[in-house]
Amino acid sequence: MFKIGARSIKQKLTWMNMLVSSCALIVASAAFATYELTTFQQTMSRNLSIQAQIVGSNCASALLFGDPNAAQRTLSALQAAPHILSAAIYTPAGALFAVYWRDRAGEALPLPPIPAGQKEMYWRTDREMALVRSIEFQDKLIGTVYIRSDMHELNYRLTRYAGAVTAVLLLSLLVAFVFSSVIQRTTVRPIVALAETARIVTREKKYSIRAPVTAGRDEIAVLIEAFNEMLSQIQERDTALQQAHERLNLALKSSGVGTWSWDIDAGALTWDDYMAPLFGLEPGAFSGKYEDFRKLLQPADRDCLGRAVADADTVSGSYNTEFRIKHKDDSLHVISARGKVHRDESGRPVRMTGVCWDITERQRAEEQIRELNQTLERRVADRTSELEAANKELEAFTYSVAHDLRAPLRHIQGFSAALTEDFGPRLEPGAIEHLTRIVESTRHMGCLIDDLLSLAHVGRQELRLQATGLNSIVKEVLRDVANETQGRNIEWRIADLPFVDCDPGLVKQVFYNLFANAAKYTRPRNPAIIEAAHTSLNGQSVIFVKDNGVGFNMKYASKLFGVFQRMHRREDFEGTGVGLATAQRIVHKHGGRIWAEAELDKGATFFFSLAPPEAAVEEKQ
Amino acid sequence: MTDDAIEILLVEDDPQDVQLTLRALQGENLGNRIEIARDGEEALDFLFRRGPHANRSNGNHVKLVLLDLKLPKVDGLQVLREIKSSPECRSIPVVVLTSSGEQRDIVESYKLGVNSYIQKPVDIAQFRQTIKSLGLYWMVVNRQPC
Repeated sequence: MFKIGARSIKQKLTWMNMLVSSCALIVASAAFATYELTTFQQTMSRNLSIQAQIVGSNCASALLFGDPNAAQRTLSALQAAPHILSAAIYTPAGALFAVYWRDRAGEALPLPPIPAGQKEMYWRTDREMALVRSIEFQDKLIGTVYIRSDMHELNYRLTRYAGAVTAVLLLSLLVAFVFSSVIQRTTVRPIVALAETARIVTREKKYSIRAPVTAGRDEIAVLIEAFNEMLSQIQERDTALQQAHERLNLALKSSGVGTWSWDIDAGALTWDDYMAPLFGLEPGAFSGKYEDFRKLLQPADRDCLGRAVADADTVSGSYNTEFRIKHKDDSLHVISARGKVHRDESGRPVRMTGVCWDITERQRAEEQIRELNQTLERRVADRTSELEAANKELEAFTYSVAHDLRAPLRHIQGFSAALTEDFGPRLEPGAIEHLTRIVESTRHMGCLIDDLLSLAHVGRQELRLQATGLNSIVKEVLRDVANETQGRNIEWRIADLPFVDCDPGLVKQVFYNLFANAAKYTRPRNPAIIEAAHTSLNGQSVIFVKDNGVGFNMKYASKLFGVFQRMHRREDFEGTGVGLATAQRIVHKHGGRIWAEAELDKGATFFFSLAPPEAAVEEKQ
Repeated sequence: MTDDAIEILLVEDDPQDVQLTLRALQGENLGNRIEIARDGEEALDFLFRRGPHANRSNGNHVKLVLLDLKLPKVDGLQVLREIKSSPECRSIPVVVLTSSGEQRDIVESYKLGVNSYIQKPVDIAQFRQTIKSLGLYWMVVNRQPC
């Protein structure tokens, strides 16, 4: 069945063009034909009337004289007019007077009456046209002529006309067809191409193709441009969507997270591909019914989703729940579910969406971590108490060193002295000398014990920082050192020293040790020069104590601050080798550092700082 | 020698130290009226007339207690605490005479009300000098209630 809607726009346009042209042509042709026919008919009737007049005139005398032969002859002249079918002359009484037949096979025709007052009357049928006319002579009716003509001429003309119209119609249709083809090229083709593009996009979901662009700026061009723009946007979104989808899939796949939604009213659950493995099921094995889902859960957890709906945040709808399931192999798994409850306008929950993942391993790991932590804490506590015990033992040890080691020394000294006093006169000089060496050794050991105790003491002691003017400390130390160096020529050069945050008691010990060292190793000098000042090194305040003493070889500088490390022989310079170690420990406790520069026989300089370098302090802050 | 004549109580467990201390005190003629306690318990028994000293006659003439800190049974700080918390004995001057120079011992002793704290010098000459000075000071210079 012919349906306009099913036709292509190309066909429609062609049809339209052709229909319009044919309509116009047909209407015009019909008008022409009607006009032509009417005119022709009038002409025909006028010609017939003229012929009737001529025949009537020529036959008048014959009628007057009653000579039918003459009339017959006159009528015969009508042979020259082939379209005349017949002609007849009647007497006024209505009798046939003379007759002419074109085909000589006629019979007498009854004379149709002429209405009164008229000279002439004509009529026509399908096949012929007839005319009756009165013949008068001197205003007196002398007869009537009756003439008939066929319509061949008219029909011939009509046929020719119809042929011409048909030819013109066909020609114009052809022209219309050609024109529409040409128009199609500029107008329809882009639309067709657009339609084809749209079809491919719809069918193949291929958003990368574009409709061909036309040169013009008409509505179609705008349409194509808009369509292409729309395609670009769709392509962009499609790409973004696909990438997001891929990422999501990758994330879901690699993390073992499944997504689902629950239509609460319908009781239907929709699972993605990752859900079934979480429940230990084959893909597609789950019916999608909420009731079946509940049966997968451990009895105690079966209402967890219902509870989650009830407990979900009323504003955001988010919820968080856990449930346990048993796989076919009887292993128990803990599943965590998180997501959102969707509500309708009245606030009634209608749908839940969410994600699920297996947290069995995580819980196990957490449990392990908890246990490990507990073990660790226990161990730390054990170690701490062990350490505390060790510290206590150490303290007890140093205490007994302080108390018990000193006593025997005192006894040795005491009784050596008693021996000298009580039995001196009876002892030989050699024996006295031995006793002197014993006393000297015990004295040295007493110093060692005191220094070691002092070192241990520094290690144990907490720093008590306070802003301290170093000059006041130096002044106190100088008093002690001066006592011990009475009789020597020492020039003390003490510069203005800064105020620093430090533990004054400990820093005093540092100065004491450095000054005592300087005094000791300048013993061969006269005068001895000992200098204390401060300088700035890389932006840091550094204090130094410089002497012009015997110095030391820098080769051994690394040993300088070690316990019991000595640079000189005991016979030359007494000492325990603990003083600088103690000084270093105090400086380190303040976050500073201590070092020395010296040259053998040209003096030594000891530098120390009482705070960490600036940069380190800033980092800490 | 009667109990009443005792003027100095030397609490010292180390016999060597006892010897050296006595020697130093005798050098100053202070060695005759000395009682020696070898541990804290003995010292307290003597001062508070308990145990073997329960029958000591009334009247307390002890003018000085020389107290070591590291003692068997009851340690020196405990002895000091009991002396200084007893109304009867708290006025007796107590001088701690010990090898320890530990701060916590010094601090604790003064907290308990020690009258003087002396670290025994290793050097015998210094030791003698110290004993001599403190004997003279507490026994001769210092005045105390009778």
